[in-house]
Amino acid sequence: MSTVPYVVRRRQRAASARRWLVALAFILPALAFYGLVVLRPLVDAVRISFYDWDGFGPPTDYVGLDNYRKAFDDPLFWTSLKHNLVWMAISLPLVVGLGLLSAVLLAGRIRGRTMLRTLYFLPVVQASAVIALAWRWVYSPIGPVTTGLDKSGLGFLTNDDGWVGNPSWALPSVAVAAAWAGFGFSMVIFLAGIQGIDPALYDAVEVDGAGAWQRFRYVTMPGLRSVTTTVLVLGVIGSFLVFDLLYILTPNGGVIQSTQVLGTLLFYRAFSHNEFGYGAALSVVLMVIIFALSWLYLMVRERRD
Amino acid sequence: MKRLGLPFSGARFPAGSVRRRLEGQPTQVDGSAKGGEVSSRKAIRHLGVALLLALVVAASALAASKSASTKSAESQVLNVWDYGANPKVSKAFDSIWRSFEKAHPGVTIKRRSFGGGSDFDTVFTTAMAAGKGPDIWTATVSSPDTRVSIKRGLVLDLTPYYCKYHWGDKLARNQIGLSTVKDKFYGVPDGIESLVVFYNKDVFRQLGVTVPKTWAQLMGIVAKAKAKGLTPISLGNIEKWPGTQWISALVANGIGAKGEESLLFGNGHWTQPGVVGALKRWVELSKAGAFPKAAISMSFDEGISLFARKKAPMFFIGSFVLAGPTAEIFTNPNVGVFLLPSWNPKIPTQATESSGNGWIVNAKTKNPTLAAEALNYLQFNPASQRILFEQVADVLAAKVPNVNSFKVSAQLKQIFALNNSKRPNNVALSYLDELISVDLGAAIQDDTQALQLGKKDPQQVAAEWDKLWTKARQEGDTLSRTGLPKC
Repeated sequence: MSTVPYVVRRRQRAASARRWLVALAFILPALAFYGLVVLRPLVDAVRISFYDWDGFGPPTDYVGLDNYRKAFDDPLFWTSLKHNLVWMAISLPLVVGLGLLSAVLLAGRIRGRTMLRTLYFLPVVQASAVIALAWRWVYSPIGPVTTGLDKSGLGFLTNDDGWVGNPSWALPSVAVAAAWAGFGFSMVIFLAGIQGIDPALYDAVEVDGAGAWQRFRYVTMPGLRSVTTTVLVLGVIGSFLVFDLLYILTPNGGVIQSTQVLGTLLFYRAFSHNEFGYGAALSVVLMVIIFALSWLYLMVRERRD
Repeated sequence: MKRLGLPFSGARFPAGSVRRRLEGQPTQVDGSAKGGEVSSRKAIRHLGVALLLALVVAASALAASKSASTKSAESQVLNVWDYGANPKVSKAFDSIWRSFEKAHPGVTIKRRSFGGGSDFDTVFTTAMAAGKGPDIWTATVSSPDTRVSIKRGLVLDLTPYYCKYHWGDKLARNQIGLSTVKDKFYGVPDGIESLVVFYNKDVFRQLGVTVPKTWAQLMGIVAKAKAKGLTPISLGNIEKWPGTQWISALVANGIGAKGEESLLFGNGHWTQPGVVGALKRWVELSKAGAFPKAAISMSFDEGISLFARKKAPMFFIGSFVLAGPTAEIFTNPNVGVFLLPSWNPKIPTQATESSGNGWIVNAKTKNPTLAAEALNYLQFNPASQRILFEQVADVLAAKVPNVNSFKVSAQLKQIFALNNSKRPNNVALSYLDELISVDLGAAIQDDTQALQLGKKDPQQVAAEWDKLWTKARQEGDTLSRTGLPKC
């Protein structure tokens, strides 16, 4: 039995409740906004996924799990999923590798460090449409880059069908463009992580005679473990959310659907085919895949730790 | 007791109560200092509630007044969505609507313009789903999207106005049928477009060639242009729809206007020799190097650029290029026009005509009569017709008696003459993708690229298309010629 008098305990509870109310008052606007723009559409998407809905008027034709069955029976769904995995396999190493390399270089005392950091980060803050238009110009078969390469005897670097017109090269080409646009973000995260590593550790290994590679391997990499996890998880999520560059550089799913990914597929089915219910089902499947992959990675990571 | 060194200790709060709070001890309720604390918190809370209430009341009052003013204004405003983003086209539409407003005091036309290739469909579908669609918008009745809208009861039946304004006497007959679904008239057709080959006269002179009348002559020009290091026919097919326009014309030349009628509205099949032959000609053109090396990677704009820079003497496209941002290139006096010669010796060269767009009225508009009147003014008023022809290069589906007096480009006049020379039996439809199901349209887009790359063969493609078309027929997702609307 508590020794604190009842009246006092009641006052404590009242004080605690008041503190909760104050806290709630502060977070309520943001929570309301989050609920409105994130949770509500999420719930709506799940609800719509159970309807055969053409986007006009309210959804009335309830079909249960038919849209999900349709997805699993649709060959284009599996092709799109495969493309997302290929995208991940290409862009993730580039984004992480380039980001880490540039962070390690820029963490040192080199001339023009600030300017270089700004330059590398610049594509991150550009609108995707701008990035896409710039790379369209790069990849254009009649553009100055291709023409210049042809004229200077480096024609082997171009592609007969054009990079985005060749079904085998279209997806990797756009993935490279995306990696160029995105590595600056991972660079900034890695840089912050490197700056968080205790300099005394570097001094210690230097005293033991460690070279640059050993310092990187035995001090920097372990120190960046949690940061790397963050970058990788964000990269995995980004690989499945990819949409804008593909939509602009390779419209309508690309040459013979060679760049169709889940994000573009659900948009295409919803807005070009008036299959909003099916599009919503695809978006739910996409959400589940992203969630599962991120969770899986974090579990594996935790076990290893 | 450890000194906490707090900056405010003793300034506003009794030091004792602060200390006790920080040490986790209960504070005393009694005492004037504590009473003062409680009352100030109460005051803040009351103020907060009062502010929140005031905000809610103000917002409601604002919404109510907006609704009242909107309500009174709604009956006077028509929202029109069009593809008039180009400044010249926009100016033309504005001048028509301003004179309509002058003739109808109290009426305001509010336009929202989109550029070609923009996300009109996405914005429109979203707006309609939210109940915020326009009163009037531009679309073709025969397009898959509009057919869905009609099925859903979202498109106004214009038959009463068709009868009232005698549109049946004023419109080209072959276009009325495409705007009719189950004997009801759903859209005023506009912007007749024809598929033609634009050519550069200078380059033709340099090559020593003249306008081809047969397929063999066309392939001869292709060979000569290639030998001179030129790209014979410019094409940018990354967006896929330019390829479908080629297929439309090749199929028209393969089966003729009657064959097309049977295919689209009757029981015709895509596996017939005329269609398979059309696909074979498409492959033949690609293999012969008629198109740019990486046509599949090039955008439509890049295709135009090659033609404009005289790197390609020919460009095959719809006559819509005579308006808008490309007008300057294609109305150049050095540019001529000819019909794509037929490849099928049994079928004469076909002209093609389709309504590139039309005008649809929202079934939920609060002003149906006003909307119909606006369309009547836009399409059938002589002054509007002149503006649309001269400034928008819009070939109206309406019969325009004095069209020869209009100041239109030489190229447009040439197209009129060519099409008229093919009437009545050799004028087919231009845009197949506007007249078929969405799935078949998507397949045609992908397969034109697959054929270019040699990934599929014509027989295989025709069989797949036929399967999709049979499915569309079974689902009722095809057009049917039901005759003219009944007054």
